[in-house]
Amino acid sequence: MVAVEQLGVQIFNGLILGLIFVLIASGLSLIFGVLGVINFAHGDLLVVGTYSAWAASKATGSFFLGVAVATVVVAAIGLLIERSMLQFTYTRSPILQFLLTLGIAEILREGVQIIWGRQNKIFQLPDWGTGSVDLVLFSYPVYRLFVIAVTLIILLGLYLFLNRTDIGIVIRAASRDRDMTGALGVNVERVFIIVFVLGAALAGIAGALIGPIRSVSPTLGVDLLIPSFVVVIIGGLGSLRGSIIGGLIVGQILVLSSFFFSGFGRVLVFASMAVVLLLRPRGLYGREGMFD
Amino acid sequence: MSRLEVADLNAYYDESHILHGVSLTVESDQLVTLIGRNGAGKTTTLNSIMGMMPRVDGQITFASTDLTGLEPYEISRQGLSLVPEHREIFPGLTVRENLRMGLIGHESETKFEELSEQVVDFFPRLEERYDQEATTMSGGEQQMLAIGRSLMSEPDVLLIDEPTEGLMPSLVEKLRDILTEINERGISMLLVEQNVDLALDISDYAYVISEGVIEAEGTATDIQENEQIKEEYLKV
Ligand SMILES: Nc1ncnc2c1ncn2[C@@H]1O[C@H](COP(=O)(O)OP(=O)(O)O)[C@@H](O)[C@H]1O
Ligand SMILES: [Mg+2]
Repeated sequence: MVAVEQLGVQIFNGLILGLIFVLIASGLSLIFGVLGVINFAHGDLLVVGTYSAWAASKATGSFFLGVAVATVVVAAIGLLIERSMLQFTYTRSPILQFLLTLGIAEILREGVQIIWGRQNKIFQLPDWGTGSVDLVLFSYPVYRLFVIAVTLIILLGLYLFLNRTDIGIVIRAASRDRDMTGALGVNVERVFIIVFVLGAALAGIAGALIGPIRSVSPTLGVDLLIPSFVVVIIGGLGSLRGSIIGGLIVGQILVLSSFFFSGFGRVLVFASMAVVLLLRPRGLYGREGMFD
Repeated sequence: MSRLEVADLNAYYDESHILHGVSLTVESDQLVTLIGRNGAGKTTTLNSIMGMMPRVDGQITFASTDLTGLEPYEISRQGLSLVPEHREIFPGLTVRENLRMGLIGHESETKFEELSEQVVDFFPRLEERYDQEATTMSGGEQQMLAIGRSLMSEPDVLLIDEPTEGLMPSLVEKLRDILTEINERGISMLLVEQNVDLALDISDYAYVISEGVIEAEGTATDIQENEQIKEEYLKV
């Protein structure tokens, strides 16, 4: 019975981690799909989200205000990055984009340490999130259930945005054929801005939500970014559905493997990526022609 | 009035100089065809007008507005619309969403339903397939969708690149009538075709292009009756 309880808790923990990966990976995937840029600064945008949520909720006493501030701050930084630097690289070598986003990542990571110091911080759970809920087979912390619910709502919102709104249709079209999208009268440059800011905002929210679960540390971004790239590759570049499936798989692998035999998580994640790539070189939902 | 005028157009891909001083005019309401062999520079001409070539020089004006140097989306908003050579239907989008894409970039007073009704008048097949993923349709249906998508922006000029390519003969006939009808509704057209007989048959005026140079022009009948031009620049 004890084992079943623990297993249930671990599966939920895996679900949370997986959903956080999905938030990160769907931003990465959208940005790559539309702008053609692999954003190596994505993990550190998340870190900025974690720190600003921590600082703002500490200052105001409101966790929700903290999440809102984090989202807005990271979205604004995304806008700044795209307008001041990234926009000049689209027609240039991908190596330039690689170096640029890598450099921005360093600046962001150093920036939060310059502002808030090098020590890890403790992100207090909001008062309403401290208890546990009895889920019959096991009980589970309120805050973590809240994170599951919120990420599911965000993903549903993202799905509806991409499928039911004009901007969403344009984003999907531009990810398939930028030139034709422009020829039909759409200012693709604007679409690029929207997508980059949207991706950044998703990273900011993810950073804020995971704050009270993990400690607030400058390496949080790198820790989460690497598995998130694996998620994107398993799911298939440019596919939201792929990111969701990939995120859930990788979350479970990481958590369950350390539950059964600790220490193998990372290895198993990369092994599963290798298996997927052997069977489906474009990932589970990767589209044909993406690399042609 | 709203005439499209191309003057002394040169176009380049990196080092290769593709168009050499192309000049042509599409008067308002005219159906003009640009014909020539494979690789002559027809697609390059349309893409240049649409602002989609990496490098051009020369003068392109529409309704007295200078289009040279404008972005494709700005040119589209001036009232030009391209139906591209390979249709370029958006995969992953439904037929309805592809049609919407024709409209979204334009601040149109007219509603989607109203515009799509006109499109469906021309191509009733599309309505049955509204919620189907567009690229699962046949080549002919995708061609109709590509034309329909362009019509959604209520263009003044259609630039249309080999619409009959790969279509069944019965569809080619139908498309010919539809192109004529679209033109009769006041949309001027620059039509690129490999099917020279069809193109000359429905056009008011024709330009013959070879190796990036306009070698002949005249009314469609003039070109039709000129065996020497046909032999030299059009026979495959
Ligand atoms: N992307 C490209 N890069 C370099 N050359 C090209 C490219 N596209 C077309 N060309 C060349 O430009 C010339 C004209 O091509 P195009 O305009 O497509 O001809 P058409 O439409 O009349 O068949 C051809 O010689 C073709 O090889
Ligand atoms: Mg061509």
